[in-house]
Amino acid sequence: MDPSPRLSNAPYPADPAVLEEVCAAGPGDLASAFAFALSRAPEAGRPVVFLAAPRAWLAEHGRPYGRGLPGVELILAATSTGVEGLWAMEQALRSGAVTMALGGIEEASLAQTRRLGFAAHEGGSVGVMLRLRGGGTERGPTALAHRARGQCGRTRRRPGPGGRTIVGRTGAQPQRAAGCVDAGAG
Amino acid sequence: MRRIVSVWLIDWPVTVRARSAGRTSPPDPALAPAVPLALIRRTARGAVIHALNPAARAAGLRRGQTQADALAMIPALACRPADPEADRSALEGLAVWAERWSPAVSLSASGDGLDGICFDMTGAAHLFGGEAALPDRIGTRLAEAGIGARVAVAPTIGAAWALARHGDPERRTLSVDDDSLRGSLAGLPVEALRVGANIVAEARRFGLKRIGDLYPIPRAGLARRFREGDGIDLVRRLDQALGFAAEALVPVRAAPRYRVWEAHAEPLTDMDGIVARLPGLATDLAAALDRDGQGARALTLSGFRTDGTVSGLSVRMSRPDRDPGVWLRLFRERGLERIDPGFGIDALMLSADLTEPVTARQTEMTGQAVEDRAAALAPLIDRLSARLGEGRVLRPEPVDSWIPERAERLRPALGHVPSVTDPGDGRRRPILLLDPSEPIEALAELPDGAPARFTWRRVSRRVKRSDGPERLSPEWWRPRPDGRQVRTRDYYCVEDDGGRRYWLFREGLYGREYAGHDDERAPSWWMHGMFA
Repeated sequence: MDPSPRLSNAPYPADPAVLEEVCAAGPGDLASAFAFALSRAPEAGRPVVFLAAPRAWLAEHGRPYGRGLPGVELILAATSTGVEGLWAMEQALRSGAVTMALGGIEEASLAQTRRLGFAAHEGGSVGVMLRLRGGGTERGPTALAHRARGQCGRTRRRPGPGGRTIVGRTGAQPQRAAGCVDAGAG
Repeated sequence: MRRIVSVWLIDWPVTVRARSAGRTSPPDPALAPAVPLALIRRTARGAVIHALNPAARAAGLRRGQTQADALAMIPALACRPADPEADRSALEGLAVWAERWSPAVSLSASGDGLDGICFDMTGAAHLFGGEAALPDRIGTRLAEAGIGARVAVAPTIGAAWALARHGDPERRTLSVDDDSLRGSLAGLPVEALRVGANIVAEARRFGLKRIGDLYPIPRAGLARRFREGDGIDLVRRLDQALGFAAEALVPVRAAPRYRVWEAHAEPLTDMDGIVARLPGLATDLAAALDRDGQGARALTLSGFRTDGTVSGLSVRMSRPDRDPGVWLRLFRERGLERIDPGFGIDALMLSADLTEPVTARQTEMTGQAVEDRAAALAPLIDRLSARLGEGRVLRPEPVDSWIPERAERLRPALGHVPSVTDPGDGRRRPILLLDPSEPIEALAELPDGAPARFTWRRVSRRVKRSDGPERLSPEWWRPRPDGRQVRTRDYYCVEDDGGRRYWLFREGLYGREYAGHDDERAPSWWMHGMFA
């Protein structure tokens, strides 16, 4: 198991796995990472998205704006600590009431991500962890299936221990949001 | 036969001081029982005595005397300032504690202010050891909490009040029933009928000193003679005391319709006891709600402590529910350790403060996924709100306004059914909104060009592409709180050379709203959101 992540050149998998991670390349890229994470929702009529965001995140980077997310039903939980965020995300995933649960969680160990994976499996939902500070080189193994690093205009992907190595790259087109990755874009 | 219990708290202001003395401040030597103590209140006449303790009363002082006179009589008198607000709130707290005996407890007043509580225990005496033992039990419980009181039980409110305050001073508890009511009241003075001082003085002039003197006098004559301006007359009070006229108790808090409680001989001193008893209480309450087809939306668990205070915990639910398992889980999420047992809890009560009818619905055989999701969402929100707090689990709700920060507000998700969402008007809006918007410095072409360069959070960025302006006129019918004029906003979507997309606006139009004079504010630029 090679701990150092490598970039790869295959298209990003279109089907969302049970637990994924999207990480913002820089502090200004949070919006694109958020949009990319939202694009990982399974195809459904009207997705119900749960977001567990730290209050510091909301104060500094702004709150999600429902008018900018047409067709998405959003539930927002403002948490104070990482443990609260993990707990809220687990509750949302296990309940089966939401289509996708996003968590703004900085650090999660192998045991915690495995637990989230089981909860997502039980509830039939998709979990995506949203990280603010990028750089996955120093982290240890986690139970995430895919990891992505979102940056506006360009998206790269780094593999987790069990994941496939794929990278997708979009052109910097003003009409397209960075979250729209088409398979095979080079 | 009704059983009304009236408790007269002897020297309540002094009792409040003595109970709070050891808790919030160093012990005060003036509060020893042998030292004469007076609580002083400032009035228009000067400093007068508001309350006394028994030692001061035995020395000959009375309420209403000026402090100077009192100190002249007893130089060793200890004087402390009176605090009627604290006395009132402490009495309300005691009334809530007395809910262990009856759901509706009211405060009662005499000429000296609020100094007692009163509650109805008709039909419930068997739960407390029987009719005979009831007043003794109440008196003993109050004495254990450090409160000096006299308890009287009578068929009417007026009679109970009279007996508690003016009954035989040797006995601490008194109890009369229907047959002995007239006889017991006959020996009491006329003040015991809750009438004003001038009526008492007038009655005394006629030689009517006791209530028994009033019985043989024809009622029409009494009614003509003794009437006060605000309608409280002697005959009405006499009728209320004897049970011929109705009188209602006004409770301190509205009594919950569904409540179950249990008392313990040994007080519970730790959480294990409460956790062990809670499932039984929840099952009983669910059964009571089930009989009436109601579901609970707000529950309160109260622990009545031995020192006369109440410690409680509340949970709320989005939809009416009567599943005890769900309630227990919500209480656990809320945190049962928030209940502080103190020196021991000797009664636990679970009450349903808000109930709504709930209809059992048969689940679909086919099992539609969407309905399951909607049904599972409400319990999820309840659990999250119980642990994180109701103000931290939010849902955006659209508001009818085109100003972006007002077009939507975040409301607590608990109990709030999302309204029909508007389809949106197709305008481009960012996915992250900064609320409030942040000021930036921008370089743009006049009068309404997009910025070419701007500085936000101390980083200068250069604009590569832009789109706009989208002009939003102000809501002229809503003036600003500081009285400044509200101006038009021009919104631009810009992309910088790093690929990031922002939503900026300039407030104020060159030309129309700003003419370049010195006393006007120049239009300023602000950052409002980020696009994906």
